[in-house]
Amino acid sequence: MPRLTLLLFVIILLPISSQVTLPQFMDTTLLRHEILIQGKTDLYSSSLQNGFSNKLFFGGNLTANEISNQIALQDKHNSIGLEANTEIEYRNYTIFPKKNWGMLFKSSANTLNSIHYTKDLFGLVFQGNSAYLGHPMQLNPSSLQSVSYIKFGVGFIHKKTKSNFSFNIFQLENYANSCLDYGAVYVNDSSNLTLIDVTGSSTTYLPKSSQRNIGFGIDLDLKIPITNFNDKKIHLNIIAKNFGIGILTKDVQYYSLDTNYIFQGFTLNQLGALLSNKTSNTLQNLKIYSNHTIRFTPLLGFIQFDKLNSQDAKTRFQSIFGGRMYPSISFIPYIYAGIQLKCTDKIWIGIHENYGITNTLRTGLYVKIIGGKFGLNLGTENLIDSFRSNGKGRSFQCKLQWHI
Amino acid sequence: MNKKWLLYFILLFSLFACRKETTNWDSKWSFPILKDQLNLKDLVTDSLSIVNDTNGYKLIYEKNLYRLKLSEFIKIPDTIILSELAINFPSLTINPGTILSEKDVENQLEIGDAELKKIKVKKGTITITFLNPLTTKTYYTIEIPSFIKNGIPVKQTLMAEKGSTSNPSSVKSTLDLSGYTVDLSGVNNSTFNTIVTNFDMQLDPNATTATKVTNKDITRMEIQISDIQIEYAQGYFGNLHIQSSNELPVESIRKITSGDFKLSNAHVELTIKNSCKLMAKGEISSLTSTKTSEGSTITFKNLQLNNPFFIAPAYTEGDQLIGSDKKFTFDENNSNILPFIENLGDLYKIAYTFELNPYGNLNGGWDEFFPTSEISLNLKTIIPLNIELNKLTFQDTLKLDLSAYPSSGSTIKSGKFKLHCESSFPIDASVSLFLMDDSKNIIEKISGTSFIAGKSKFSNENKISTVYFTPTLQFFSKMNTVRYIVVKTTFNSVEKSYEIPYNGKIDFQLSTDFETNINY
Repeated sequence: MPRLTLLLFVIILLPISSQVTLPQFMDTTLLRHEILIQGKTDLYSSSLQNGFSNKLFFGGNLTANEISNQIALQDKHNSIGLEANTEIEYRNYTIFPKKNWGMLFKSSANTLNSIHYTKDLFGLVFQGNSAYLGHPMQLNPSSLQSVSYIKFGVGFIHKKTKSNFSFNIFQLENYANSCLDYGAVYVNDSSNLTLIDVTGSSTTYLPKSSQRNIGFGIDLDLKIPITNFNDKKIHLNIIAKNFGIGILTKDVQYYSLDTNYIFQGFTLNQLGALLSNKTSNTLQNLKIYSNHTIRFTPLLGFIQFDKLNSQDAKTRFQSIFGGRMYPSISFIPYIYAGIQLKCTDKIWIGIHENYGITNTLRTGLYVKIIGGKFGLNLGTENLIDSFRSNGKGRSFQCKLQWHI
Repeated sequence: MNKKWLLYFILLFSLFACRKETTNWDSKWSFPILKDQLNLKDLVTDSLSIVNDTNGYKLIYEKNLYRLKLSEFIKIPDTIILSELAINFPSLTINPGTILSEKDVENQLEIGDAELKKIKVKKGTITITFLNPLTTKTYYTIEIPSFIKNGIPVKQTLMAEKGSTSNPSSVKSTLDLSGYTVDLSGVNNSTFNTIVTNFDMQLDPNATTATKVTNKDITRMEIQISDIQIEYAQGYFGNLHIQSSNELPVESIRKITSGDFKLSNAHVELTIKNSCKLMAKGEISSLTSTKTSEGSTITFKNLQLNNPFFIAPAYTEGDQLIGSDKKFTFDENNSNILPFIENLGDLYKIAYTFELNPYGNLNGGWDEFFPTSEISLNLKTIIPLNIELNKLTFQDTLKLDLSAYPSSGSTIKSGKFKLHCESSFPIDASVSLFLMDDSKNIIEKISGTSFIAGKSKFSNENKISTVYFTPTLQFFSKMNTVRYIVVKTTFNSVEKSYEIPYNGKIDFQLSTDFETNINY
């Protein structure tokens, strides 16, 4: 059993994985202790194939041929994102024996990255500008949002419904929020004339010491009973997670640029000043301004709702649906709907169609196995693409429950 | 069981933490780096200029070799004038308010050979001190009619408290002498270097009793003159000998490492200017050009060298001071000026002597110098822009610290520089770059694929050249060790006897193509 558990962990969590969208059962069983381990990796792209994005994010040499093939696949506007987390949570229902509430403690590592880019920007990054000599490059609209953090939380949980909330402290590992409102670059055939017309801004936090910026936030997980169209009582699981504020006090660099520049080369005097490090006005001449002011930034929290099915339902089929949205980031809201099949008293399989994030329709699949004190969920939000090298994204999710 | 779970977590987190290999890809980039124009005007500095006369354009190099300010030689040394006043009787009782005086005392200044009648002080101070041995309060008045400002002489009245013979009281006053005119011709305007003082002392007029004074009670007055700077002087300045030499290093010539050039019709003017009202005699004893790298020296030859010459005194017309000058012109007909310059010496030495008032005081003590007066030695070199260059090689070392360039991670794999030039100079140029580390060991030599071509006198079109500089692939892996760059440029005239046009210029543009490996 331990070996099997280890194998499952490795398979599920190796690619790193946020809040899973694995459907859950409404469980009103009174428990003493409960441990939840969950992980998720969701790499999604509108135009980038898995083989390429695998190398891009997880290592490998991107050959000129692969780059050319990917450029041909790019639309005028594209997006790519990587969302991953691992979380461990311990719930103690016996800490206040005479109360309806227990306590929970949790810790997680999270990263959320979203890039919107144009085809020309993609080509510029991966091929350089030599392939575009004599052709204007359109770089907008493009944006990058990225945050990685470690979270520690403590909260309270209702013993029966499992509704809970927690207060969290975030240790920010890095942060970037960059936006190119307008960007056009042109280098002529002889590469002796460069036209740059760029407007944008960027806030980055890349820690230079062991000290980290921090943030504060809350998680909320509510189980709400509602009546469906057939007057049947069902439960909705409403989750609001990672809502809070990041306080960027150190190692934060803010740039804004609004430059329209024709560059044919430095003069000898300018080059001499550059080599002598007398460049204090160079950035200002390029209309690039920077400062180090303290910034407050919203954490990339999300709101998710899922229908909670009943483990004891008599029917073999139950509907599943839900959705998720990131209010502070430019993701298309994600929704899903499907059906869940009860194979045996211990195994359930669900399949759903989902839409959002990348503006494409995807098929998701999950399996839930309950065995004694253990429960295991495995699933994907993108069944077809996840296992193809020419697919555009991968999604793996898992959740392990162990209760006493 | 719990231990096994802990083990699982450690294993899992260690798996997340490592990535098997880095992500990397190559990309190619092209950018302009430099765009500028060089013309003859760029050579013009404080000491260089270009003029056009009927015989064509000429490069002018002017340098002051020596400047003698007489105020540096004619000085009033720091001086203390002491005066003492005592009664001639063994003992005397003096009533309150009695005044004792000492008038028209002439005090001689030690100024060496010079005999000054008048000076104007630019800066300086005078400090007056009285020591009072009398047992009553005493008022001292000092007047120095020699020191006048706005028609008013220096006059100070100071009060000293009662003292004693063994422990006199003192009183002191300091005065700024800036702007004062000092008449040094004595009471009767018949002498020189003399300061006249008048001194009164009055016993306290309000005292109720007389004061007993003995011949041991000596009142002392001390006048201290300090830090005098003269801006005008009149008198006889003495017979002054100045023997000196000057070295003139020419850094730009030190950058010429080989080759030569031919001049035609170059000439040099040496001008000695005298704006002091006194006679002077001078002699240029030697002029040499040394190529320090080879230790070779050429001595300038001309009949006028080592021969003394006289420079007439300056004179005034109204308020204007008219200086006199002595000019020597050296050309290829009267000297070895062409080989002297073509030697490309980077260190010039000139030795000379000057003698002021060589025949003594001939003008009755009417030497004068003014704030602007000086005796100067000036060099002017005139070179027609008809220069023939023969593999003339300039080598310049510049600091280029590339330590910030990453030694690993994202780096440049290969690259080249393209230099596009359009020249109207009649000179070909080939360029080589030497990149060196901290110890000035050569890491990489990069030579241009061809030379930058100059314009022929038979062509109306400017010459266009494209030269590529391609570092070796190995160089990019050690780029961060570069600390210096040596630019070596060799010039050759396209044709002989072709004047460099004044409006000659070279437009150049440097761009680069390079391939990077992004690696993270």
